[in-house]
This record gives sequence, structure tokens and C-alpha cells, in this order.
Amino acid sequence: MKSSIKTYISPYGACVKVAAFFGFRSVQGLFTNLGIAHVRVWNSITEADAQEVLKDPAVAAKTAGFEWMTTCVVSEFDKKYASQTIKICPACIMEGQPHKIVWQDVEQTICEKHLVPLQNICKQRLFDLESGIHSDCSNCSECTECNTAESLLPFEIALLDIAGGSQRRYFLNVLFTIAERLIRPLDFITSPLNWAKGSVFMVRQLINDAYILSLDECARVTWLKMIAEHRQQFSILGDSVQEINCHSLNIVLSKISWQPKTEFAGQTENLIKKYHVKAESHPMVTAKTRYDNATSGDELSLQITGNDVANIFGVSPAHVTKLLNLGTLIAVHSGQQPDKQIFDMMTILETFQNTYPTVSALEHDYINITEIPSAIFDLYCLDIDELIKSAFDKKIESQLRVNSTVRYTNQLQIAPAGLKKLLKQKWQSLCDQPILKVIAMLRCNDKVIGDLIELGFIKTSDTNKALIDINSLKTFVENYLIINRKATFSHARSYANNVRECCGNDPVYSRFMDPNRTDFVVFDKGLLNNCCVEQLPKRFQHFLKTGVELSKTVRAHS
Amino acid sequence: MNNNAINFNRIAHSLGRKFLTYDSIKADFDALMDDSENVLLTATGKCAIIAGDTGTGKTMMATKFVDRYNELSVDKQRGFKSIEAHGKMTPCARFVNAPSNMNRLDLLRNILAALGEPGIPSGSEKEMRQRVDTQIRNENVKVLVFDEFQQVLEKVSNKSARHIADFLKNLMDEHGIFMIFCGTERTTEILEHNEQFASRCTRVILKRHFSLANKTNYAVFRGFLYTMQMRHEISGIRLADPENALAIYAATNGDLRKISWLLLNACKHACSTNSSSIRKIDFSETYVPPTNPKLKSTKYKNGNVTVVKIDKHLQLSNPFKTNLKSLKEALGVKYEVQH
Repeated sequence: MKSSIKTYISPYGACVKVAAFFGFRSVQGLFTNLGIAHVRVWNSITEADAQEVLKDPAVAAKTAGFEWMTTCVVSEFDKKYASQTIKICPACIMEGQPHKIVWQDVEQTICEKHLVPLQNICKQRLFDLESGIHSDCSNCSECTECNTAESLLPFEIALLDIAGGSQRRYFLNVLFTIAERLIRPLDFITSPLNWAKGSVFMVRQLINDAYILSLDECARVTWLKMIAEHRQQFSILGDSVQEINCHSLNIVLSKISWQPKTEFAGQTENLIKKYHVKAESHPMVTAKTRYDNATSGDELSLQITGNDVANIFGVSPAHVTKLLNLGTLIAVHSGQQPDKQIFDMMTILETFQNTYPTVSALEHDYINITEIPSAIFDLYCLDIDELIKSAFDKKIESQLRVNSTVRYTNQLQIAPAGLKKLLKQKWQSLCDQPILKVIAMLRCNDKVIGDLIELGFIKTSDTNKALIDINSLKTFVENYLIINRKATFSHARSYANNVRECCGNDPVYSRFMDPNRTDFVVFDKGLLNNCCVEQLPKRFQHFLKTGVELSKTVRAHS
Repeated sequence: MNNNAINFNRIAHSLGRKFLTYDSIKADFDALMDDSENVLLTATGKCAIIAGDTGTGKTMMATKFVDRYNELSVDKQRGFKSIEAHGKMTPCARFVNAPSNMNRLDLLRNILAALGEPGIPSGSEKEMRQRVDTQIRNENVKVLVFDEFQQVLEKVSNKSARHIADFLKNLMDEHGIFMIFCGTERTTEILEHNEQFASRCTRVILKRHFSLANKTNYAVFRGFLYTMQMRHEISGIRLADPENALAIYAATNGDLRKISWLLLNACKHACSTNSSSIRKIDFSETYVPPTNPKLKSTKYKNGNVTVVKIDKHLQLSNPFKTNLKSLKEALGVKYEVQH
């Protein structure tokens, strides 16, 4: 009895069968006859195209009796997970079977019926095979001559021994993940692979090596040890450097659920050395930029991304991009996306050693740069990147605290006095500012600005009405006490009430802004008594955070 | 409508499909069938030519030949004895209409269309030739009948004609095909374009209009009319009677296509007048005089042809209203005609 199980064949395979039967030399010829739009790439032929061909009356009349028409179903495949080059089992094709979808799976390396490796061929070669024409494809980049008598590789034998579909999938998933890590195994940057681009030969070799490595009992220990040795020279930068990509590697290797074999013991070191030596880009590697920017294997292995640089310096990746744009940091390959930026680890080490030449005792009252409230920067129109640049340029005192937490992260820390000094310098060096900047500096809104201009507290620039005259602004801030610049918005009104209850002093200007921002309150400093000043918050007090006590440190240093 | 009225639909259907064979046609048809079977047996390509004026039944003969061949090829009882030698694939015949205003590729396109290629055949000459080869092999085509083949030779240069002849000769040899070329006298020119082609030609059948040149021809024409009336089961006046036969000849000039058309119109008239049989009045009422009174003379290579003076026809305003004596005089019939 014939099996009722249908074989799924590719649209191209079906079209090839029909076109070859009618004596065409390509599927395109058949498509031209039938008025189907030109399709250049073989895997762009859709199921609808194939159905249009098969349902043509002339085709249907002549192919109705063919065996493959009754046993096969045309179906599209997901191009994302399928090899881009045609894969076939020559024995199956010789038996008259059309091109099957299952062969195109990246994971499929053998024909399970004939137990032979699959073969990569170009679309014309497949056509010639179907047409019974002998063609010479020796110079074709897509065609690979494959010995059909070639024996199966160990991982393929192991795969055939696994019965369940889900277990097979797990087995292959683990091997594919390990194989991805095998390309440049000691580098800081991993090399993601596009398996669809790989030939059967490449995929088999890589997966088999991954399988051999997985059978070594000491694979994980050996691999991590080799990574540690490779990065030893950067130990001064802390454990964060040592740990780059090691955690994910640990997870990958912990998924190996099969028993190690003694005959493969000690293979890991050889395999890692083999794949680490290759400096050229593997054909399946997707991101080739870093290969283009390295002249040797050593350079390649010391490349690091912008994200990792940010972790090393305890700043955010956006700051690294800014420093890169400002020229403080030098990249091998620059870009706006931190994960695409490539730095040389030796340059990073040099930058660190230039900035912090001597390892002295670390100061404990320094402020972690990421913990400084952004509002402080608004008040003085200071950019945090300027602060970081000043630290790197040694304009203010700073230190890099490595392994600062239990998670072994690094922190860039600034001396409070240095920050204060920088803020003061910035305030003094300000020129006429646009209204939007002034709104941020005074923490108000445009209506308040309008009132302040109308009341003569501040004035617009003589040359440009869109700018606020910086001298008028400085005078205003100096002579008047703007609670919003000192306190949180929500507390502004209660502080005003306290002052009023103390000595009966009323604010010289007050305006309700909105339910979130409450009032904008201004007192004349000259009218305030000492007792009233006591009712108001201290400068920077409201910015208090753990480790950021500017009011205290300023007093201590003054 | 009267239930007894003549069944026009049945007659029209019959006229359109039934192929009448009379002595000379039957002999030619059988000879072609024999040739085709010989080709099948020997697997060597041969060809035949059916040449003649329009309306002499070339196309009808060719289409019937293709139908008959295909019937015999699947009929295990009465079919070709050589069928077993061809394995599972049944040999078949295909009918190719020669393109009217052709270039070199058009013939290939028409062959591919006749072979059942999907869509509108296109591509380069080389590609199409390959496809013709493949499809002839796939279909096991053993007979190719080309109709109106004179157009292939008329519309292309001598060089192209030779090119086409060479291609067809190769096709014939490679696949062991029996080719039949139908068309006007010029069809025979293909034999001049390729000598090897000439050596492969088994016969040239010359088809002519009916003639009244002598008593024998007259008897053949009457026999045809009689067979026609019997075969299509048309009741009423006897078409083979001398006055009817001569009137039909005068109206049609012995053209088979015109005779069928004349009969069809007469039957339609009889039906519309609720007549249960065909009458002479049906012919006279539906008679349409020729619109083109130009004399057309043609010369056949293998003998002379009797050219009927059409101007004499025109002297007869309606042959079906003319007496026998006048008809004889107008048609130049000098011998006795009898019932």
C-alpha cells in the first residue's frame, strides 16, 4: 500500500519539474510563456507562482499522471531559516523526486533515506539534473562536489540515534549555539553567524567540531581558563573585563546534557586554538566590519564594543558615543550605535593608564557620576558629557573605582569640589541663552518667563529678542531667592508659607504654574531675615541622594 | 414549427463533422495511413504532400487523418501492429497550423502550441528547438501534419526556407516522424529547398476541384452528391439528378467547401419554411451569385486543368432556375447526361 504521507516540495522544485518536462532551459522560460512576473532568485518563487504553473490547463493535462504530483505538496519555506543555496540529495533526484523543502533546513545535512551528505548545487545544475543534461559546474561557486559515498560525521550518527523530534531539536540547538561561539572563541566580541549562507560542508564541519567539544568533560573549564589567560593583561581594569561574554558562554556550555566521551578528552584546547588562529572572516559571519578593521588575529581578538567600554569606565553607552564624537576616545570603527562601535582594548588600557597613572588610595567621598541628578546639570546649563570629558582630560579630580560592587562593576567617580568648581565655571562663562534653556535653568515655564520680562526681573538680549540677556539673569539669580532653583517643585509653596508665617515676608513674585509644578516663588534676598532663611532648604539639599551630599562636601572643602 | 420540418441542426452538425470518402480520397487516405505505419515500423522519418486549390478538402482530409491516427494508436484491437514496439508510450499525431504572416520563429511557436506547450510559446530559436525536441520525445509524436504550409515558403526568403526545411528534416530523422504538408501548389517547393527532403517524400497527393470535363468526372461528381445526401440523411430532391448536379456545379464550381455551404443554406431555408424535405426552391432562394467575377486560372505541373469560364456562369442568373440544356451549354458539357 502506498504511503499517504505527503512530501513537501519547494515551489522552485515543482517549477523545475514542469519546465524540464516541457524542455525549457530555465524556469524563467516557462514563466515568460505563462506571463508570470520575472523572478531572479530561486527562493523568491512563491507557492502562488508554482500553483499558477501547475493549474495551467496544458500543464495539468500532461502532468496529472506523474507520481510526484500525487505524492507531493508544494509549500513555501521560511527563507530566514533555510539555506540560501539549493541543497539536494543526488540519489533522491536521480530517483525522480522533486526538490524537497526539508533539505533546505539549515540543520539538515544528510539525506536520512540514503544516509549520504546533502550537496549544494546552483539552480541551473538542478535544472540540468532534472533534464538529464550533463553540465560542467566545476567553476561554479554554489556547486560543491560531494562524494556520495562519504561517511556520516559523529554528530550525524548521534543525531540519527535520537528518536524524538524535540530531543533532536534540542541536540541541534545546543550544537548550533556552541558552534557560533567557536568562531574566534577567545575574542571579546562574538561573531554571530548567518547559517543560511553556509554550505553543507561548512555547516557539517562546524557542527561536528562543536559536537566533539561538547564530548570533552573539561570543555567549560578549559575554555574559560584560556579566556582568562588571554585577558590577563587587562586585570587592572577589573573583573568586568574578564567577564565579558563569559557568562553567556557558561550558559551555552551548561546546556550540554549528553555524556562526555573519554576519547574526546582534551580536544577543547586544540579546537579553540584552531578557530582562534583564523583571522579571516568566516563566510557565515554576519558582522564583517571588525574583520575589515584588523590587520592580524591579535588585533581582532582585542577588539571591544562601545557597550563594553561603557561598562569599563562606569558610564552609559551614550556617553561613550559622545566621548567618541568629542575625540576623547579613539575607536577602530566609530558609529552612533554603541554595539557597533569597535575599540581596541590596548587603546582603552592606555587611556586608563594616562588618566590614572598611579594607583593611589581611593577617595570614599567622591561622587559616582551616574548618580548625579540631571537637574543639577540643567541649573547650570552643563552637559554631563562635558563633566565626563573634564574627568578624562584631568581638568577635575576623578577616580575609576573598579570592582566597586558585588557585581564587580566599575564606576567613574568625581570629586565634589571639582564638580562644584566646574558648575561655577560654567555659570560664569555662560552667554545669552535661548528662552528654552532659561526655562530649564529657572525650572519654570514660558508664562513665568514672560512675567519676569514684563516685570523687569530679566530682559531679552539687545541683539536677538529670542535670547535672554545673561547678565540680567545672573543679577536676578544673585539678588532674588528663587525657591524653585533650590527646592523641589512640590515643596515650593509650603516653604513660602513658612517664610510668611515667620516674619510676614511675602514673595515679590509668585505664580501658579500647574498641578505638578505648583508655584514659582521669588523672594527678595535683601528683605529676608536670617530666621526666614533658616526656613528655606539649603543649597543642593533637595538633591540629596546616597553618596551625593554636595552641601556637606562643599562646606568641608570651602 | 412543424415537427415534421427538416432537422437543420442535425444536418449542420453532420456536415461539419462527417468526412466523406469516395474512391480517390479513400485511396489517398489509406495510402497515407500505410505510410505512417511504415514509418512507425521502420523508425525512419518520411513525408508526404497534399497540394491543391482551396476547397478541395485538404484540411478536412488532414484533420481526419490526425484523428484516425490517434484513434488507431490507442486501439489495441484494430490499431497499429507496431504499437508493441513502442513500449508504454502511445504514438500520436499532432496538427500544426502554419502561421499566416510568419517569421522564422513563428513556425516553431505553432509547433510548440500544437504539442501542447503551456502559455504562449516564447524564447530564442535555439531554446524553442530544444523544447520541440523534448516535447516530441515526451509525447512520442510520430506524425506532424502542417496545414497551409505554402505560407511558410511564401513569406520567407529562400535562405530561410532552406533553414526551415533543414530543421524539419532533422526533426523527421531524429524522431522518426511522418510529416504531412498540406497547402497550395507551392507546398511542393519544399522538396526543391532540400534534396534530402525530396528523397524522403513518399507521395505527393494533388487535390482538385470536381470537374465535368468528361463523363467519368461527371460520374464521380454525381457519386459524391449521392453519397453526401445519403450520408447526411437529407430527404427531398435527389442531388445526383443531372439538372440538380449541373446546377450545383454551376453554383459552386466543384468547390467542396462551397457545396457544403450551399447545401447548408438550402436545408436552413427548408427548415424555416417548415418543409420536411429539401426542395429545388430552397436552393434557388438561397443562391448567391459570385461577388468576384474574376477569372482564376491555375496550372498544375502534373497535367492540365479544366478552367470553367466563370463569365458563362454569370450569364446564368440563377442556375437552379435554369433548364438542363442551358446549364449544359453554359458549363460546356458536350456529352449525354443521364438519370
